[in-house]
Amino acid sequence: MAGAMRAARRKGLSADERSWLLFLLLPVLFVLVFSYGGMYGVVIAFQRFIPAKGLFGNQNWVGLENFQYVFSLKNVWRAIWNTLSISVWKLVLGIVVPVCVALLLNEVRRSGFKRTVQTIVYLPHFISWVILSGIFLDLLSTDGLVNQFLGLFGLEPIFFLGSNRYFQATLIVTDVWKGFGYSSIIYLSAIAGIDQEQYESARIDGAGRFRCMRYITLPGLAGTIALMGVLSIGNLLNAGFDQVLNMYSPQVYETGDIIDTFVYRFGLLEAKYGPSQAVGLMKSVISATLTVVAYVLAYKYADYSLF
Amino acid sequence: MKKRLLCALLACMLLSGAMAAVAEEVPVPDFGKYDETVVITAINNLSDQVRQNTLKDEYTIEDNPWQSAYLEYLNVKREYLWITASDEEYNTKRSLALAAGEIPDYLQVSQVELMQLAEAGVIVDNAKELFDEYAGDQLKSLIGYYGDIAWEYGAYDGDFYGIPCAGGQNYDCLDFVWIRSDWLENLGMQPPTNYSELLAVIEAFVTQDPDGNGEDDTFGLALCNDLDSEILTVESFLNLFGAYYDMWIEKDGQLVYSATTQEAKNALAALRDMYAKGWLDPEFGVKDQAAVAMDIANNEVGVVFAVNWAPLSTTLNNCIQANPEAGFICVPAWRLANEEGTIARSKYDPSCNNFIAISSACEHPEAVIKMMSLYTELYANHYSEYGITDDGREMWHLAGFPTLEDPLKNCKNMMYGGQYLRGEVAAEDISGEQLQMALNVQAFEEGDRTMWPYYAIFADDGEYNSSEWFVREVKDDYDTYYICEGYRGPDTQGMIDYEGMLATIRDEAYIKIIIGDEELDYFDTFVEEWYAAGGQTITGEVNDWFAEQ
Amino acid sequence: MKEKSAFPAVNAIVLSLLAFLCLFPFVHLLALSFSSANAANQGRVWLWPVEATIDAYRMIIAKKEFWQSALVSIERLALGVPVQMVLTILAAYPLSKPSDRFRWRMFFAWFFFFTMLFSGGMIPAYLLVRELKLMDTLWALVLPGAVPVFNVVILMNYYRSLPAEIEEAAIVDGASQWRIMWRIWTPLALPSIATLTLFSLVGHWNSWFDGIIYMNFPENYPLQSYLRTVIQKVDTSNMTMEQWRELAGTSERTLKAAQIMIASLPMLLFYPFLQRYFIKGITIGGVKG
Repeated sequence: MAGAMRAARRKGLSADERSWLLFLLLPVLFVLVFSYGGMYGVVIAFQRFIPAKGLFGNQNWVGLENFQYVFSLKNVWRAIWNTLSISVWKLVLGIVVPVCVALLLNEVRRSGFKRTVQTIVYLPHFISWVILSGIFLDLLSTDGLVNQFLGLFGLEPIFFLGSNRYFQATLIVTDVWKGFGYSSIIYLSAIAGIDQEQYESARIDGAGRFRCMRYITLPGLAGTIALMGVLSIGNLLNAGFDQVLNMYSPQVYETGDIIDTFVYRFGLLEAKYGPSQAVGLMKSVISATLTVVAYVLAYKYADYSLF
Repeated sequence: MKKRLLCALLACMLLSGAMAAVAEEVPVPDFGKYDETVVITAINNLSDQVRQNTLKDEYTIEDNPWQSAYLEYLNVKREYLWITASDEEYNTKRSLALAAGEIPDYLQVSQVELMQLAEAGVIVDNAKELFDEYAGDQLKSLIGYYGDIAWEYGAYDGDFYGIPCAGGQNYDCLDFVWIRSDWLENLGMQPPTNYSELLAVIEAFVTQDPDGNGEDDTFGLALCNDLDSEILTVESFLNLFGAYYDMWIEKDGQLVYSATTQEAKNALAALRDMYAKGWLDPEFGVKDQAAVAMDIANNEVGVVFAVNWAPLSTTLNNCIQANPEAGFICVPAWRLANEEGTIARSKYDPSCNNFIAISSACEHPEAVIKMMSLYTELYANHYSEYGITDDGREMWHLAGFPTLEDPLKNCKNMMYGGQYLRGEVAAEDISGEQLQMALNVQAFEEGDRTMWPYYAIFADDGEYNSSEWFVREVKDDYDTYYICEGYRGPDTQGMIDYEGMLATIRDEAYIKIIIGDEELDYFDTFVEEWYAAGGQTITGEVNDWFAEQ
Repeated sequence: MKEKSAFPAVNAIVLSLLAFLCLFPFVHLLALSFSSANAANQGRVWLWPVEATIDAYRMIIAKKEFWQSALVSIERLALGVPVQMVLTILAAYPLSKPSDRFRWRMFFAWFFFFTMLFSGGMIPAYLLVRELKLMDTLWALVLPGAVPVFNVVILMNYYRSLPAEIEEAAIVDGASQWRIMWRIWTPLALPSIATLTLFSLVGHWNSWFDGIIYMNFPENYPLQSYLRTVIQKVDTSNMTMEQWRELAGTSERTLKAAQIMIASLPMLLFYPFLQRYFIKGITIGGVKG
């Protein structure tokens, strides 16, 4: 990169380059102001931040004290643990379920039915968590439809959103529910890219539907699955702020509080600015590292390049 | 000693209230109107319901009776920096705004926030002096109800930074047992007058098919998974045993935590016994308040422990509205003590966690006190304009200050409303709120069932209505009916660190014991756990404080 | 032979069940919104209205707060989506050029990408919007997210998959870069542009947090922010008598259901039309094997 810059200086800009830089002017300006402009906020992590003195006020610098303090709190470790356990499940099921659905959809021959199913299963992806939480609060409450249904089988009502035993599972299942249809698109198109001749020759050899699936479709998907898996490593510390914030309640902080919600609550609702920023900063650093590692891996082994 | 003081205060308060016999058109006193318009900035939180209710037609945030009043009587123009629509939004926005150095001229804060602002030096440290100098009589008496102790909660380094607004805690917030009166009639039973009669009613409601539908589909006592709520509470049941839910009690010169006492164990034993007999809903541990409310509405349970104003909650009201034959009577919990012949006392907590802080950048800090004075004055004496209007608009939300009201207003509503309905006083002689509640009661008696909650709380007809009970029995003798929280200091470090967790341990243990997941003697294990998980620390801190008193 | 005949039927049933699973919450809600308050409160509504009524919708029609917010949301879409799309194209086009022709490419690619990894948190963002005097304006909802980096990456990759000869031919014809970008490449990238437009629509329609932070008065909240304040389950355990009094008598459940239905309607209507693009649109750009 530095080399390119030096080269540019040496040779001067080409006419095309000049127009391209001009095109980039506006987007770069916005990113500079609104994204880079806010990054100095990380200094709060190293201050004993007294809000009323302001971001540029005469704050006390305390070095790593905030970090020491937060990591001595049990709730932080709880949030980290919850985040990992939720996101790993979401990650795994977020691949397995869409792959299965893609395999099933691929077997449908009637295109009208296929398209209808697709349209319906993609739908939840487009609905916000604000709205979905409203729906689930109603549906999953102890007197909601789901519990009434379970009651038909003589089951006791389950407190999906209010009990620490079920809350994580509820988060995971509803998240998979929201995303599985949409995620299956990628696998469907990867299946569409598999050489049709393979199927034909296999069929001539007498292979049935399941043998084709097992020995042609799945191996054909392996690359895409591996790639999606690797790329999602970068999201290991993101367990779904929007979802959790809209669905949790104090009763389930024990199992539902994730890093992002903790940072938000701790920092803004309880006004512990410095310590909360410290947690956020740690998370950012680790996430960024994981993301970069993921892309490097994807580049090396799957020949995938983001840019 | 403080307790005595409090109760003396209470007694004379009711007296003076009765003698003053309230308001014809009282002229608004002069609180010191400014010559030039003073701008006071503020922030507020108004829920969607409130905005729909108040800001219709011609009224807006900038232009409504309260804004006009501040301008007319004080020449103060209040400008809102921002307004949110939920507590969470309000806290978020306030934290962000403070971090950006944006402090309104006055704001409402909790005790912890008050300390933070005080430490940052951005709010005035002479709130009490300002108050003493500028507050009107009405304001002084309302704040004064809660005594000097309320100010103490807002002190930092010896200075008083916040004006304590403990309001909203009414002295008549006592617990009752609400019982389905139509079921009692069906079974030919009388309302219980002591603990064993209460058990008899509960048992009959389980075994004798009180709703007469020929099916064994009823439970005795309604409880929900949230042990800490004011409705469907276990607290009042615990009170029957002198085993308060969450409280520091003086015992042998020491403060002990209520949940660790033998009384608590006894109360749990009683609940456990009821559960084993099938008197409680086997699923109560997983049902929240709304779910239990649905059971009540579906005629599955007919005995509910809840506070005096419970009829206004959906928990009771849904049942009344859904079942034309249903009725509830209330029997005071204090008469049903486990130990025959004693009174079951309720907890009284004098602490204050709600303050008005004034920015030190405010050029006229006294204007805030004047506004508060005007607010309390208008609310008390011009209720139908500034409190709740005749067409049900709750204008008081727009005043921009926390509720500060007469802690005995429910009783006064009942007393004066009753006098009005019997023609003993004229409409002009009672306050707007009293009149309105009286009219609601009348509407119910004339057949408007949706007004039932007001009837059940405020009716003055010698029947079983909650405010009447209070006036009949409690009002002259607070010491007998209340027990004051033993610890009256600020939150200790131990409380900040452990209290949340200890509460979880307690509630889990209680539920396990009641539903028989654990033996009764598990209680002793729980107590040990409680001490080990930080309870010991807090007990130490609390008793250090106690020793100093 | 037996397996062959049974599988399609089983498969169809499984997929139908899945589709039902995705649809029934909305159907239930729809049924609730058309049911009477009593039926809803007693939990008697399943997938069909009970004691059918349009009361809830009648109430919403009269509810000016709801429509005010809906209007803000629509304005936001009208302003925000074009801004995002223009900036996305402006950024993606140069970045799609090979590094030897555009030597700054990698620098700017990282410049944009880095913002996906780090952010300074809410406090400086708030301060920035405040200092720029954007508080309480539509711009506060539009400008901070004006460059959706993820979309830029997708479009850039789509551009790169287009044959370079087209550009060369255009250059020979004497077209400027500006003209090539708008007149040739953008129409060629239609599937990707359509998809990103959908993303942008959905993103703007669904975001709520910025509305709450940057708008000073609830009247200016976009619809989702407003709905959040309405939908959130009221914590009844600590409610005071006054709060109960406000709640009393209102049948929240059917009203909420109706508001949710109306708020999800635009997305439900938009997306089937754009659906045919987005299989091509995301896969070609997003994941290159």
